[in-house]
Amino acid sequence: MARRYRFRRWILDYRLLALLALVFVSIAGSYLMPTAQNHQSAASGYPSVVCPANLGDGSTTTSLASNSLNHKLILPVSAAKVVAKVAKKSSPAKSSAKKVRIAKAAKKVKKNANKPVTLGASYPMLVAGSAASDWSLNQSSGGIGATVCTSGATDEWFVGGSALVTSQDTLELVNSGAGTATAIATAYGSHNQSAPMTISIKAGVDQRVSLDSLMPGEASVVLHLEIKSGRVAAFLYAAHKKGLTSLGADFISPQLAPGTHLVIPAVINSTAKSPVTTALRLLAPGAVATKVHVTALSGDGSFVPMNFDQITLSPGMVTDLPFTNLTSATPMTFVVDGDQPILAAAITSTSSEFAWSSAQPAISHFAANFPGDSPTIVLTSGRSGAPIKALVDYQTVRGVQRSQTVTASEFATINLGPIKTLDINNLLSATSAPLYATAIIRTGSGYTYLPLIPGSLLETSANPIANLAALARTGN
Amino acid sequence: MPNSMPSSIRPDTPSPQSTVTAVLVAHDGASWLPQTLIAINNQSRPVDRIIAIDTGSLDTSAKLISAAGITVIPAPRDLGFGDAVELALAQLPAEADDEWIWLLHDDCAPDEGALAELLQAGAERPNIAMLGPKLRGWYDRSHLLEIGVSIASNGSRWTGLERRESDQGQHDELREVMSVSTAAALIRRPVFEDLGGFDPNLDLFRDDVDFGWRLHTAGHGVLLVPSAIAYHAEAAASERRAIDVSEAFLHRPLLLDRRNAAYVLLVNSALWRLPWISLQILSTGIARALFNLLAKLPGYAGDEIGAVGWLFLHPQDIFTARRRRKSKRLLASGTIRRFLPPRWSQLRMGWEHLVDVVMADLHGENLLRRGDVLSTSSHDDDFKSDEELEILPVANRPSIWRYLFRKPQVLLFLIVSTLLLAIGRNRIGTITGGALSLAPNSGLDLLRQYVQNWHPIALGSASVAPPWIPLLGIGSAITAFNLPLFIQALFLLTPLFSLFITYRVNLRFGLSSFWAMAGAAIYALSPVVFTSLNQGRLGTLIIILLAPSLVLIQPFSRSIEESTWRRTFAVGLLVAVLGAFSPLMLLVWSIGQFGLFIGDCARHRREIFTKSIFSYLFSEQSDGLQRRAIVALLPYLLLAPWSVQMTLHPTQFFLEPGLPLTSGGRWSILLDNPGGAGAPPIWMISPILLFAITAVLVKTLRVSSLSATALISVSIAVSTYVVAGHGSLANVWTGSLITISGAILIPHVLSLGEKFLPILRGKSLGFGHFWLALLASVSIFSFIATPIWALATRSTSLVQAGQKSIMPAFVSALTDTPIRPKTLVIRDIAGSRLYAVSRGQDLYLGEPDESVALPDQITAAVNQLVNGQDSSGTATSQILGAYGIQYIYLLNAGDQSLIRAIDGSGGFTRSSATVNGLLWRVASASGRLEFVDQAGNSKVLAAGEISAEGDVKSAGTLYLAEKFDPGWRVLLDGVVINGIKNQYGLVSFPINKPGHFTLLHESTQLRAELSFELLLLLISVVMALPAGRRRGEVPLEELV
Repeated sequence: MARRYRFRRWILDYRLLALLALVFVSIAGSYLMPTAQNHQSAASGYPSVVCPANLGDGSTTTSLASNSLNHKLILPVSAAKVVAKVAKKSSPAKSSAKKVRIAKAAKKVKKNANKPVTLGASYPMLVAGSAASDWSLNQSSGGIGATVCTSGATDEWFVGGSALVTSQDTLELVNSGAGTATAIATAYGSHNQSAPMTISIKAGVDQRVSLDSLMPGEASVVLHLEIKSGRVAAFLYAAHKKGLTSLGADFISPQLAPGTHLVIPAVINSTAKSPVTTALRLLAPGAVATKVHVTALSGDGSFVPMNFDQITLSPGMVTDLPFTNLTSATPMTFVVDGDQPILAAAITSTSSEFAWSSAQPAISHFAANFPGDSPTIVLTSGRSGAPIKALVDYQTVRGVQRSQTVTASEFATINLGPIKTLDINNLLSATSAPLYATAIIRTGSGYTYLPLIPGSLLETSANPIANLAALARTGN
Repeated sequence: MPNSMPSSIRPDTPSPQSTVTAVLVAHDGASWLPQTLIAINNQSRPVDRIIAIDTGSLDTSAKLISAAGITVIPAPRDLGFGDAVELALAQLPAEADDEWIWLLHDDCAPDEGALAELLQAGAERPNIAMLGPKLRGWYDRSHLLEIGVSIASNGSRWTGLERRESDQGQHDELREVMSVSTAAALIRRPVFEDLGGFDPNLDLFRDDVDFGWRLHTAGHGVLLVPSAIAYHAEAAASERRAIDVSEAFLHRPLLLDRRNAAYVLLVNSALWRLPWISLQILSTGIARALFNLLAKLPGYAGDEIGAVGWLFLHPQDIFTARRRRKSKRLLASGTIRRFLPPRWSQLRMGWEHLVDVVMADLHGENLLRRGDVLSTSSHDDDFKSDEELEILPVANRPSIWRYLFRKPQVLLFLIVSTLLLAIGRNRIGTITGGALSLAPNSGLDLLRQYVQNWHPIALGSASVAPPWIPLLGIGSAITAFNLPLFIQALFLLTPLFSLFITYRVNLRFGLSSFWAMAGAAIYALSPVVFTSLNQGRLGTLIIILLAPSLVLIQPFSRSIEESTWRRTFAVGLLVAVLGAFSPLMLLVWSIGQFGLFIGDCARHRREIFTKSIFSYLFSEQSDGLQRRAIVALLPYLLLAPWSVQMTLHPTQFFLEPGLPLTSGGRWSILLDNPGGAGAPPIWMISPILLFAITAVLVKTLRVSSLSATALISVSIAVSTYVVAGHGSLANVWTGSLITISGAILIPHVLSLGEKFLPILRGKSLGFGHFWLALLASVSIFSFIATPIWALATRSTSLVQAGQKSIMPAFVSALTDTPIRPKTLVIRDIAGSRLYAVSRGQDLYLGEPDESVALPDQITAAVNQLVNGQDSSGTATSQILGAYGIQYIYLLNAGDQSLIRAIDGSGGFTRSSATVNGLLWRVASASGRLEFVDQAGNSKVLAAGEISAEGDVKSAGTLYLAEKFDPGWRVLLDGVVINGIKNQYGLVSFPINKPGHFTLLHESTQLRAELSFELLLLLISVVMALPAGRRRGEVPLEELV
């Protein structure tokens, strides 16, 4: 019996070789099998952005990145006709408007494809997203304000504004979606905070809320806005008047979240007409007192403004701190560091104008059209001694394309003259060497800060996969 | 040995002074008559008169009786027993008032004291008119045949004895009974004649019961005298002689017995009980007929049905007999109720009888095989087999506990049981996860699901349900159809059961106890077992349990061709069950067997060429080829129409039951580890690959090594193939093939090891020693390390108990409302964004297997929705709404851009936002069934899960929110309207007039297919079952 099971003399006999060959062939065969692990396709694109309506008593012009972009005015769904005021103007001062159907407007715009276009609108405008940003310039009787058109966020902080009787600060909530949206606004003041106000915004409507309805009489306001449902873009427009005298107007750009290292890239120190007073508005929204340290970066170097080396903020209370003896030959950057997450913005005021400069995120790229403005571009790394290396491409109003590489330590300003386009690229690593940029725009009516941040970022959303596993139960 | 002197006979007791007339009836009884005549002659109390009737015997019966000095009266061959007795008594007129008739059969030998005991008992009890002895077997004289007889309500002859019960004096008490057998029965002649003797309609069989019943209703009694003993051959009942009585249609004893049993019940029972008794007779007859058909005894089946039919066709006999009895009846017929067997006793005895039959069959086979095993087992085995221990003297046996604990297999079972309890702690309760969906509450739900032609899953499916669904439902009968409990038990106990099954199979395979135990441990504690448990691979668990049985078949060897037809069909059935739970296994099996069939054909090519292929296949010479064809085709046919559907969509062969789940790649499978989530790490190597290498080197293991290696190779080759189906997408799970390869290799290689070990002991150290040591080390490491790993990682198992439903409670609550809303669920799992359409409930067992792809319109709409591409309009909500999707549920909503996208799309209204997820209501979503009249007014109509019924008040269009299928019909006042596919891919019905409508899904084809499948299954089961033996074929020694 045992003889039947005796091993062959040679281990490497033909059977073992056959086995190895079979396994080899099967392994090789496995490489030939269709192995598409994922049928998930992705769709990339820039979300649509919303530009604000004409707020205040002046006019608003919007600079689109391209005239090939589809855009429409946001009107209530029930409106019988969709109208838009379209202005093909190179200068806001020469703007003239005419009513056309939106379809015609789009068709008209497309005739001049690939050329920058500036539109003026009484209604908020929905613009198809693109890599370049769109922005709006509001010119009212008292001053100017600029803001980047945005796709909106679900959680935003507006650091700025007041609810005094001289203020006509308005929160514009634009629901560009097709369903009713809900937002909750909470105002923080210097002593307390308001009860959350729930705001319902119907589809295709821009709902406007006066800041004084949230916290009447409060001089220092920080507004927290949470979008609970719907696609909502929010703009806070501040306008001050004293009697019939306008004291200026501006958009207050939002911050997405409190942080421990905030950079307010541009704060002017003086204007040609009148002296400037500067103040810093701070809020520690957490539950504990927060220590804050402010550093100013400028063309003259970095320094700590007097009394700003160590500030203690009470939790949940807005603090306005004016700067004294703040002198610099160039605009400045404020770097605000806290030991807890904080919010900060700076306001610069003259006798007839004011402007809010908000803390803003770093960028790696920004592009926009400028309809003949002469912006002063402030670039900063947001840290003392940290390098800047940015490539600035622009086109002059005469159509000359120019390029400039800006290399500096911590801070730089450039005056480009009247330009039609602007394109800024951070040539360093965005994570190790961040770049913050703001444009200071001056017109005959006043000045304003335009944060050079993309209004919409490239979003890649995977097409979902039909899979019954989505119905499987979840763990405890 | 019969008692020589019954204990109750007292020598000093005078024998009663009564006249005893013995009547001996003979019919072809020469085989038994010599002993019968001697027994009559040897009676301690001799008979006073004796006469014999020979009913036309063809043997020497008449001569034998005459030679004994007994007068023989010849009679016609078709004369019944009662008529024969009447004829005899007519020859011997009554002599005294206390005369007794002693009825004797030619195959019944009374003990020498039998008559004396009967007379003694009768003399002391004047109310007793009939007495009978205790009847024992003719050959096995300790075998108790009767201690009185009664009749069950279904006509069965009831003795109250267990099958082959031995007489140990356990029934030795004098007692009144309903009746006694006419064999050696002592009857008072005046009473007998007063009642008219035996019923002339009962020529044979049941005349005793009938007479006993009539005695009782006439106010007399029947007594069993256990001290009187007679030995009865039951020649007629056991079909040892021809049944020639005139009433015996076709000379079939069973037909006559059943007919007479029914007759006795119907003529003696109270009138009001007749309908109930008739019903019982009919149902029992049908049940017995079916049982006989299963036992391949169609003649007996025909007897059962024929007996009932014959009786119901002759009602006049019954009415006449009832009138005759009425004149002699003093007491109600229910007076014998105390002698009727209780129903639970009948059931218990019936069950025990069935178990005895089955066990006898199995035990007989086991004994045969075990004999083979013992003859080939090693003498060096330190462990005695069970049978060896069984035959140890009782006095030397240890206590049962010590006996059990000394057996290593018991210890192993205890250790494994403890481990499994610890490992399965998280799986106590309703389990789900991985590939396993939630089990319905009842296994019967699965049976219902299987016969449905339309499956209400997602947007509906008309695909054929896989046959594992009803198999699982039937299996849940073990837990009284509590399916969750059954599934839980399966996941908890599969390793233990597979350990036990493999151990038994290994023993039958010829391994000694130790090696069988080692093989069982390697198999039952392998990585594939724990991976299957952790991933919820229900199908593979069933394969794990059944695969060891496949080893004994040796499916790819020539043994199939040399096997019996019964075994061939049994193999086909087993493979069909395996294939139902693993389509991949079915595919491999079919291809492999087809290859062998072609090979066989090639070998017989000369014969095939001389005849045509078909005439050769159906000739007797191709018996082996026919068997090969059966084992190749039968599983495929039994699994139709599912198997046909898979053939039309061949990628479906690569899908195992349940949700597809990503599993391991080629290298993992090479090491016998199926891989994927919940699989042991790859370094936890299983010895199967080493076993394969070992087997391939040994010539005698060529077939098994080739089979196993081929399975492993196929597993490797297809492991990376990504296939879509069952509502998901994943690479091929090859756990079932790995399992089968292990099941094939383990016993073969261990058998080799067991035989090779003694040889190695006598040899100097060499390669063989090292190789065996390596095999042993890896094996021990595998079956120790794998369960420990499973214990340590049990909390990460995909299959867990108590997992929560994802659906919001209020949405689930709407499931059974007439609107029957659907919900689009969007969820991120493992970095992928998934979506599915739910009907408000969890995903249940079998539903993934029945699901089909969602319509393209839905896919496009969901893509638009998620990517925010529908910002300008409400097209998405219109499409979703048209399909009856009333809600969108975003589970664990963390992606704000997605929320904004849905918020921004038209037609969706937020309904709720909780920590679990966000819910939107789809505006203007339709119900499952909606009617739109010609003016455009719509109305949601009440609908069931599949069908619906109602009224429409005007002409218009009926819209059904289900994926289009040509099987949908509407009957409008009986007129059929076929469904039309509308622009959304939905079903609509043009309604041209008001009326009553019925919505249904046509299932005629499925019913026909299932009927064919059922018929084929029945035939296969009958063919696979052991054949019953006719009583005439059973050796008389076994019966009496």
